[in-house]
Amino acid sequence: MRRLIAFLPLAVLGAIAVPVIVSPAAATAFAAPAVCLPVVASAPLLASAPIDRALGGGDVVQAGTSADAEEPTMERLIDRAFVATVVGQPAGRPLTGAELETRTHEVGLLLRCPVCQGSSVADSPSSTAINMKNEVRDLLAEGYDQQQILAWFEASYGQFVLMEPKAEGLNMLVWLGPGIVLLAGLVIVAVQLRKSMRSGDPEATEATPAADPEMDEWLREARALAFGADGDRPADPNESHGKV
Amino acid sequence: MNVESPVTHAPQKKVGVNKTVLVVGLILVLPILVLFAMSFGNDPHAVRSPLVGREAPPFDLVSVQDGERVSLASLKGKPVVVNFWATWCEPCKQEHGVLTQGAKIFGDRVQFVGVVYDDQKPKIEAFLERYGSGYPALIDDGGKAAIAYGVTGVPETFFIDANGKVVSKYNGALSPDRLREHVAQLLGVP
Repeated sequence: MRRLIAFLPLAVLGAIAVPVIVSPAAATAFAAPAVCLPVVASAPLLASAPIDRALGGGDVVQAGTSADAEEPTMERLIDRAFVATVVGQPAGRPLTGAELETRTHEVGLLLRCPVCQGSSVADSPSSTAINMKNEVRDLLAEGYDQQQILAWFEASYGQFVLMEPKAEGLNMLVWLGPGIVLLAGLVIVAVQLRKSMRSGDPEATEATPAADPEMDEWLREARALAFGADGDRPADPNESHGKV
Repeated sequence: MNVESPVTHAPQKKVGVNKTVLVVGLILVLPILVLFAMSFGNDPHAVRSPLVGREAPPFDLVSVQDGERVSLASLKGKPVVVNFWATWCEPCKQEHGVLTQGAKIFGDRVQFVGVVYDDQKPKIEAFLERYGSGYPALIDDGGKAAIAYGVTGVPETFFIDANGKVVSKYNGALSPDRLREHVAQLLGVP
């Protein structure tokens, strides 16, 4: 029973920690460096860029804001035409005003900033994230829905750009893993519990170690050497208070 | 002085292998080892881009050198090397010489194009004046082209065949050997 009690906190800790560690959100954070490995070489370059540019400020060319939505540049016309070939014609209705800004932020939260450490496009102040946010805003204003916009970014960057991995293929391990581990933990606890129940009085079994004449003999010798011929243990300080 | 202990050594108990621990350990460790084994030998710069094998995203950008527009469509019929770079990127300076030399050597068979990522025109002009210019440097206004190509940092280079399909992608500064390899692949020569 003591063994069981000692095991329970570990099982509970595992049940809490493992799903957290293996949760899809955490998994993408762990997966990111693997996916991003080649980018590591260029990441410091971005980091070493002037702060004003990193923050999207300065006189860096920034286009694609909603302000110039009325007069699309050649780049944007080409971009829109190509987006349609990749994800099809807009499936939603064109958004404007506050609704456009709200949805831009919401969709931006679902996209990973490729030059940041685990930040979403909506959360990052980097110029890359700002460009991506502008792209999201453009597409929403055109009437593309969330699914189409995510598919457009995924077509260029791969699944790495999605803050949450899709529940398909090997990714299923990330989604089902925590449940499987939790279930396995419960099974182990149940098996241990059953074993203890079957072996009669578990307390008694645990308290009395299995008889081992060879070990007993050695213990007797060691005690005799340490405490005297009778092999008695020295009085416990706590006990001696009571004896006097 | 050597005093022999009157107590014999504790009897050694047989230590058996706990099969459960062994199985659980293997289940946990084996996938990690397999992943490591799969990664060994891979060139970390040769990244699998979702664009490889697909139609290259079109672009129509303004050249810094002459202000003319250069589109990917206008280059169709000739393989294209599209290099995303920036003046604030140190490896880009080193790579610029390799690409300029590459444009001289392969220029009759392959079109080299630079797309300047997140930069300023005066800085680009100063850079080209200092390091030389062997092919068009196009300004990616608003980063549309970079987004369409899934650029995550600079330098990144895409190799596009004469039909407009992306053949390969390279992250990081290209060495002369790497450039030759990719161009050879693009031209279909050994």
